[in-house]
Amino acid sequence: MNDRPIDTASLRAEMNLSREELSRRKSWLRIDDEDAARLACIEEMVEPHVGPIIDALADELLGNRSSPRDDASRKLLRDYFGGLTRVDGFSDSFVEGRLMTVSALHEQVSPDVSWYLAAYLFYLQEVAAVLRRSSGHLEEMRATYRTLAKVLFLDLSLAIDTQVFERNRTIRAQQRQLEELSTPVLQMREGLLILPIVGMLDSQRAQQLTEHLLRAIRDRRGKVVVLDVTGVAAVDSRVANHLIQTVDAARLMGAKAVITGVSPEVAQTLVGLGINLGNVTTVSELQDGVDEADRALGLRVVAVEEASREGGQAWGCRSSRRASA
Amino acid sequence: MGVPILTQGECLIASVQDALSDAELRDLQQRLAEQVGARGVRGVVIDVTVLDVIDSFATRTLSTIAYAVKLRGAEVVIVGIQPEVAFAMVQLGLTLEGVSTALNLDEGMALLRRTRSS
Amino acid sequence: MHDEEHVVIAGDADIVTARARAKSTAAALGFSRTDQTVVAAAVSEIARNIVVYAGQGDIILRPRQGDGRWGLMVVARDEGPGIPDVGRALTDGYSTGGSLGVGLPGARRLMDGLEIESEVGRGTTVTMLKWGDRFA
Repeated sequence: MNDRPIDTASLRAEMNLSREELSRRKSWLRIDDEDAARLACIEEMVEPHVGPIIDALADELLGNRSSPRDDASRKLLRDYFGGLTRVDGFSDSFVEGRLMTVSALHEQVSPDVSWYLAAYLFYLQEVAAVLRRSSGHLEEMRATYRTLAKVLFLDLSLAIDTQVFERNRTIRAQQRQLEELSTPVLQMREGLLILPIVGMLDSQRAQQLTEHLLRAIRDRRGKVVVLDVTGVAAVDSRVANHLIQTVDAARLMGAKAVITGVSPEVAQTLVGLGINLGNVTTVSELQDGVDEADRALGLRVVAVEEASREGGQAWGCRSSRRASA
Repeated sequence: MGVPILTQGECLIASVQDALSDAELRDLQQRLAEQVGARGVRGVVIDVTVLDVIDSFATRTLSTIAYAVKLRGAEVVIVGIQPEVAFAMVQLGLTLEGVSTALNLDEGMALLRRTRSS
Repeated sequence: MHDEEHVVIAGDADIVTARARAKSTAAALGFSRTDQTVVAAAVSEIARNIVVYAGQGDIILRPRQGDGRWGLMVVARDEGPGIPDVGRALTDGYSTGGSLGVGLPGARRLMDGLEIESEVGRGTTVTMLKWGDRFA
């Protein structure tokens, strides 16, 4: 289970629960000051009966199990429903408090939406029964029931929002993992990084790729980076501009970028579009790009036999450093 | 006040310590020009690792410093531009064209040695 | 909830303050490191414009909420000479102040939205906004 502390400010932002939104929901449900006042009375009336109601609910949800975890869940449920009537004018702190409780319940018990709906209805019916049994004016009873229903609907909206939030969070985490997997920065040899770019390259993805590459340059001390765009669906002027920016940014970090996979036709198109790839070294084939990179790094790759003849290292790469500007 | 400038052999190393104000940038420019002119310095490394923003003024000043230093016969290399800073710079169209760059101080010094020996 | 912040711009040194405050506010709103830097750079350019063209002004940093994430709105105001041709000012390479003309078009590239209200002789207000990442 998730053991990060619940960030209610983020939750509120994600769920768009600004003060404006909360006001909107309250006016939808026609919750007014009278309702707030009535709730204060309900609290007194309902509180002693909440226990058995919650126990019945918990039995529904948890069966007759009893373990420390189940006891914790029961306590959560009690806090959850008990807190419904402890409304202090629907203030910010009330909402945040409800969100915390909802999140905790979600993490601990993971009820689905249908359970929430059934639970709220059950609660409402039980509390209505309590109200009927108490002595009181019929009209007042009806008004009280209505107020309670409004509060429950408001709360239900928060519970559903939280469900959606949690689900979206999982989806986004998975998306990020997928993105990471699809943009690996490969280290071919010391100082040489290769970034194969595959698929559609929209602005957001291009930005992510650039950030990813620049961080890799820093973390792996890249001196030459080969950006292979063979797999990019469409290299148009927008994509070309992103690539140019990436090349420029890499240079600011002391790395030279070589772009491979630009076919002669695409290169022609870009020239026609007025895109100046002047500063950018482009090469058609990945192999040529790697050769170019090696040259830039001052390396020459030779076969193992040749290397051992020359008395070089066993792994067949003899480094001939020459001064490069 | 000012960015500390250290001497290492025939090189000067200016290490920016903190967020640079305009005045401090101008001051750095002046001091580097003086020191390069006066002392037979062959190379200058400006280390901006610590800077979390490099805007157009800073970029222009760094270019001007590079130009002034080269006029006095020394090489310049800017090192330590961070990934996020590089990204923002190119979005603003600031590419520090014509100025050598390197990843960090070690690479910068190596670059200066290579340039001088060629 | 996050409140808005106010930075007075009266000289060079305030540019540093403005960008530092912008960066830390963006960080508090959960912006990625890159976006923090981007916001700080845009604020730096706009603050510099205030100093260069108007001498003084102020900048308001206003957190916004929407669409599952936090955003930061920056309102930069001055009572300087104003910009006669706003459209041209937003075109790359245009400048009367002896600078490269990077400021406004650059800031617009960096941010998600940028609007200018300006009246010659009365002053200029630049409003720009950047959204952070959706909440994870």
